[in-house]
Amino acid sequence: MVISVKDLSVALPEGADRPHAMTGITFDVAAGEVLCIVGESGSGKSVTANTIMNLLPPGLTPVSGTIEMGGRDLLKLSDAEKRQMRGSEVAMIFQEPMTALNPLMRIKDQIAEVFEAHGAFSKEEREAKALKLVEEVGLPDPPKILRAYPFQLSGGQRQRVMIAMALALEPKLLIADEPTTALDVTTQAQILKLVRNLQDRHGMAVLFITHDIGVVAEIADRVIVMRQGEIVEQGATADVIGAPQTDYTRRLINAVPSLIPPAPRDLSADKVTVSVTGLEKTFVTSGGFFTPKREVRAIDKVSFDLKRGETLGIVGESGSGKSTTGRCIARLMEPNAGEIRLGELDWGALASRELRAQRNRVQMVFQDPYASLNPRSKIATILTEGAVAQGQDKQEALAYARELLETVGLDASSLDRYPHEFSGGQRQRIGIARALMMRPEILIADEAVSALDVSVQAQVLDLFQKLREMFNLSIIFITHDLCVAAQVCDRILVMHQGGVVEAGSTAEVFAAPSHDYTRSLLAAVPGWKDDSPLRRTRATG
Amino acid sequence: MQTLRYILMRLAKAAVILFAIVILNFCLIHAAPGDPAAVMAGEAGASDELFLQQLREKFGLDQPFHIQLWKYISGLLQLDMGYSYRQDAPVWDLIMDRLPATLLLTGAAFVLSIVLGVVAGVMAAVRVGKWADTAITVAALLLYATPLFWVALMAILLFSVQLGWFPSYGMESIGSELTGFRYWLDVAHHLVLPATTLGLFFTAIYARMTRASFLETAAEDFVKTARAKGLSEGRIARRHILRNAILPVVTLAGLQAGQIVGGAVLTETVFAWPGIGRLMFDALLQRDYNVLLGVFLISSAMVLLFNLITDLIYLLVDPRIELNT
Amino acid sequence: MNAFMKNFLRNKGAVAGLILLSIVVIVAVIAPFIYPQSPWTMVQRPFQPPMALDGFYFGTDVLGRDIGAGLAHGARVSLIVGLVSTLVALLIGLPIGALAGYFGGIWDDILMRFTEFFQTIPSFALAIVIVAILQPSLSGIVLAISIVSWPPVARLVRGEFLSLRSREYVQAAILSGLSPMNIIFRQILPNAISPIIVLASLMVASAILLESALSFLGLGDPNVMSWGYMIGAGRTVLRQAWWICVFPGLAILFTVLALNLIGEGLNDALNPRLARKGR
Repeated sequence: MVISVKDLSVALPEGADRPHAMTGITFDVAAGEVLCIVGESGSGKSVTANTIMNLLPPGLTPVSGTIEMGGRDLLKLSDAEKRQMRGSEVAMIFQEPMTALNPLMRIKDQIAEVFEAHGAFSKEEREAKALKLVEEVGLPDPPKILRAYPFQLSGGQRQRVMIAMALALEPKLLIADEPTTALDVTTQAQILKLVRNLQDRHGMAVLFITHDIGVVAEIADRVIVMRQGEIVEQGATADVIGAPQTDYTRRLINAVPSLIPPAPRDLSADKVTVSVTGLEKTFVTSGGFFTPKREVRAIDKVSFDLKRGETLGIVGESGSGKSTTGRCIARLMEPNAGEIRLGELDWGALASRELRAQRNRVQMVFQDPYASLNPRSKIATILTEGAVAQGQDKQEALAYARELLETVGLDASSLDRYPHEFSGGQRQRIGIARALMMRPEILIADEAVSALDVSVQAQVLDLFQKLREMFNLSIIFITHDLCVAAQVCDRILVMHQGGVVEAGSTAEVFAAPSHDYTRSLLAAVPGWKDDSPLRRTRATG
Repeated sequence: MQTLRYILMRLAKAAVILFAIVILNFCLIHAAPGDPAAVMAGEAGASDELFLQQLREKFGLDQPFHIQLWKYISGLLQLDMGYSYRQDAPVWDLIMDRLPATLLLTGAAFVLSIVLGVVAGVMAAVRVGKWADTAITVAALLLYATPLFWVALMAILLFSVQLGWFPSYGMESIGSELTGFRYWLDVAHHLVLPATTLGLFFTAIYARMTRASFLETAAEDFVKTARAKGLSEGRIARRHILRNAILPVVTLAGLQAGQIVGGAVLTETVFAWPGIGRLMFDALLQRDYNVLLGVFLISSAMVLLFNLITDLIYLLVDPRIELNT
Repeated sequence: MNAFMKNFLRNKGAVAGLILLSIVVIVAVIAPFIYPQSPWTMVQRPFQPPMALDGFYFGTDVLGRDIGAGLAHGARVSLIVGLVSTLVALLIGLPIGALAGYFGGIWDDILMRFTEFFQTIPSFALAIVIVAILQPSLSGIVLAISIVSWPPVARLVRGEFLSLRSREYVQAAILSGLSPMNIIFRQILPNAISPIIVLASLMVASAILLESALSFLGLGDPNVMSWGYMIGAGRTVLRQAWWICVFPGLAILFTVLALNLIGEGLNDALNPRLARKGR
C-alpha cells in the first residue's frame, strides 16, 4: 500500500450545519491504482484530499485517525517534514487550471521551483528536467512553453503544466481534485488519458476526486462513494457501478443521464414556431481611441426550424457560439445578420417598443441559480413584476404565480420569501416559474442544469419534460453535456467555432454522427465506451 | 515591438490629457476675476480708458476666444506662461526656479511612503490578527484621518521646538556658504521633516492597501499550488504573494501621485520650502492668477510624468500588460 | 436589516466611530446654545492657556477669542461642508457612472475618458484654483470639493453597473419587458447601493479634510469660523501658544477618524463576504 487512511475525521468549525466535514474515513491506495472518490457537493470528498496533503483551510482540523505513508503518520509530522513530503512524496493538481498558476512567473520557473524547494539537482539540470517534463505531458513546442507565462496558455495546456509540476519529483501518490471539471469534454478526455498513461509509466498511486460518475467509469480501478462526510460504499468500479449495494449509490447512478437517447417522438404533424436563417454575430472590441479594433466571429450563418412542442438541443464546447445563438434569439443581443421569425412575425426586426410589448413570447432559464434571481426582491415580486409590466392585474398575477410554484414543485408560501432562503435546485425551479409566468411560446434553457448536483439535475430535467407537455412549449436547450442533450432533445444542432457542423434528430446524430467533430465529441464523453460498466448497466435498464 | 507600441500609446494618451489640461487652464484664466487689462493697468499705476484699450489690443484681449486660445497655446510651446507683475518676472522663470525643490520633496516623500507603506502592510498581513497587525492598522487609521498640515505643525512643535533635532524652516541654513557634500547634507537635514510629514499620510494609504491586497492574494489558488509544491512559507510570501499583491498598490500609487503634488502646497507652506507649492501659496495671497494657473499647469504635467513612470514600472512587473493595451 | 445592525454593532471600531461622531454632531447642534456669542467676538485677554480662566477650557487665541466657541461652531461648518459636498459629488458621479456602465460602448468611452481626466489633475491644486477664482465662500468651497471628488463615485458606479448589467436576473428582467428605468432603479441600483454608501461615508471624511486644508490656506469663507482657519491663524504663534493649533487639529482628527471607522464598519456589515476575504 502506498497510503493507508484509517478512521479519519475532520471537524467543521462551530456553527456549521454538521459537526464533521467527514468522519470515520478508512481506505488505502496501492501503487499503480486509480482510486476515485465520488460524491455530490458537501460530501466531504475534497476535504479528504486536502487532509492528506495537509492543505486544509483554516477552521478545519483533523480530530482523529491516521494517514500512514511509508511507515509514518502524515498527521503527526512536523511542519518541516510536512513541507518536505508535499511535492516530493505526494503531489496534487486542482480544479481551476486558469487560476492555479502564478500569473507573473514563467512556466520554467514554476516547474524549477519544485526542485529548488526540495534541493534537487543543479540549476542547469533543473532546466533540462523541466523541458523533459513538459515534453512528457504532451505540450506542443516545449521550449516555447517553458518561456511562456500562464496567460499565454489554454486551460488544457495549463492543466498539463500542473501535471508536469506534480510529476517533477516522481511522487508515490498523485491527488487530483476535480482536475477536469473546468475543462471542455474533448480536453477532459485528453487529460484523463494522460493521467492514465503517466500512471502506467511511473507506477504511482492516484487518488482522483470527482463528482462525475462518467469520469469514474472511465478512469477508476476502485471507487469510494461519499455522502455527507461518510463513506457509503466502496469496491471495484465495475462492481459498484454495475451492481450498487446501497440505495444511495443506486439513485446516484440512475440519476446520471444516459448517452443513449430514448426512442424518438413523432413530431411531423406539428407547426413550425421559430425559424432562424443565416444568423450571424460578430463581436467588435472597441478599445477606445488608441487601441485597434478586434473582431471575433461568434456565430456564423446559423439556421434552423423549431416546431411547437419540440426540444432542440444546441450542443458544443465553450466558445462554440451556442449561448450567443440563444441570446440573439431571445433578443438580449442584436445579431449582425440573419432572420428570426416567430410564425409569421419578423421577430428579429421588431423595434424596441414593440419588442418590449411582445417580450413574453420568448423566455429564458439561466445557468447560475445564485445569480439569476434578484437578491433584494421577494419571490412574489420576482415572479409577478414582468406580468404586471405587461398589463396584467396584480392579484391575478399573484394567483397564477401560486399555481405555477406548485407546478414546479414548490410551496405557494414561497412567495413571501427571499431567494437566499432556497437551495440551488429550488432557485432553478423559481427561475423556470418566472419564465412560465410570461406564458411564453418558446423557452430557451441556457445550461440550465449545469450547475446542479446530478440528483437535482435529474429532477429538473424531468420538470422540463413535464412542462413541455403541459404548456406545449418549444424549447431550445443549450448545453455542453451530451448525455443531458441525449435525454431531453428531439433534435440536435452541433456547433463548433461559431458554425453548425451537424444537425439532425437526436437518435440519428448519436447513432451515426456524420461530421468528424461530432464523432470526436461523442468519443470524448467519459464512461460510455462499449465495455464500460455504465453502458452495460444502462443498456440492461 | 509590443512594448514600444505600449509606451507610444501611453505617451500619446498623456499628450492628449496634457492638451485637455491646457484648454481647461486657459478657460480658468478667463474665468479668473478682474479684467486682465485693468489688472495690468493697475500694476502699471495708470487706469485711463485709452490706456486700457491699448493694453487690450497689445495683448490680443479683444480677439475672439479661439484666437486667444491659439495664442496661449503657441505661447506655451515657446515656454511663455505670461508675466507676473507682482514679482516682476516671467511665470515660466519663477516656476523653473522653484521646481527642483518640489521635485526633491515630492520624490523623497513618494519613495518613502511606498517603501514604508509596503513594508508595514506586509508586516501586518503576515501577522494578521496579532498585536503587530493591530498596531499597524491603528497607526494607519490615525494617520489617514489627520490633516497633513497639522501633522507638519505638530512635527515642528516636537522635533524642532522641543527636541531641536531638525530645522523647521527652509531648504538650507541661512548664511552658511556650504558647498558640495556638506551642502547636500544640510539640504537632507532640512528635508527630513517636510518629506516625512508629506509621506506619512500616503504611507498610511499604501500600508492599508498592501495589507488588504496581500491577504486577498494569499487566498488565491496559485498560492495553494505553491504550498502543494512544498515551498516554505517565507518563499511563498515573497515570490508568489507579494509580487502579485504589489500590482494594485502600484496602480494606486500612480493615482495618488496627483495627491502628493497637491499635498506639497501645504507642506511647503508650513515649512517655507522654496518650491512651487510655496509659490502657489504666495500667488494665492496676492491673487496673482498668472502664477497660480502656471503652477497648476506644471503640477498637472508632473502628475502625468508620475503616471508615465508607474506605467513603465507596471510594464516591468506584469507580463500580461501588453495584452491589455 | 436586523442582521446588518447586528454585524455593524459587533464591530468595535464602528461603534467607537458612531459614538465619536454623535458627540461631534451634538456639539454642532447645541453650539448656538452653549456659545451664543459669535465665535469671532473677542471675549478675553489673548493668549490665555487652557483652563487658565474659568469657563475658557480651551484657552483664547491671538485676538482673545474663545477657542471653545470656535471648536463648537467649527463643527457645524465641517459637517455641513462634508455632507453637502458629498451629496453634490454623488449627484455628479452617479449619473455619469450609471450611464457609462449601463449603456457601455461609445458612452462609456467618452464618459470614462472625461472621468480619467479629472482624476489626473492634482485635485487639491484644482480645488485651490477654483476657490481662488470663485472667491472664498461656503458655496465656492462646496463646489470645489465636489468637483474634485466625484470621479471615484463615477468609477465605482460604472463598475457596479457594468457587472450587474450582465447578471442573469437583469437579463431576465429585460426579457420580462421591464423598462430601462425600472431596470436601472429597481434591479441594478438597489444591488449597487451598499458600496456607494460605504464610499460616501469615506468621502464625507475626505471632504472635511479638504475643507480644513483650504481654510488653513486662507481660502475659507471669511464669515464662518472653521477648524482649518483656526489652525492657519495660530500657526505663526505655534511656539508661544500651542493650544491654538492643537485643539482644532484634534477635532478634525476625531471627526475624520469617526467617519472612517463608520465607513469600514458599514463595509464589513454590508459586504460580509468581502470582509471575511479581507481578514
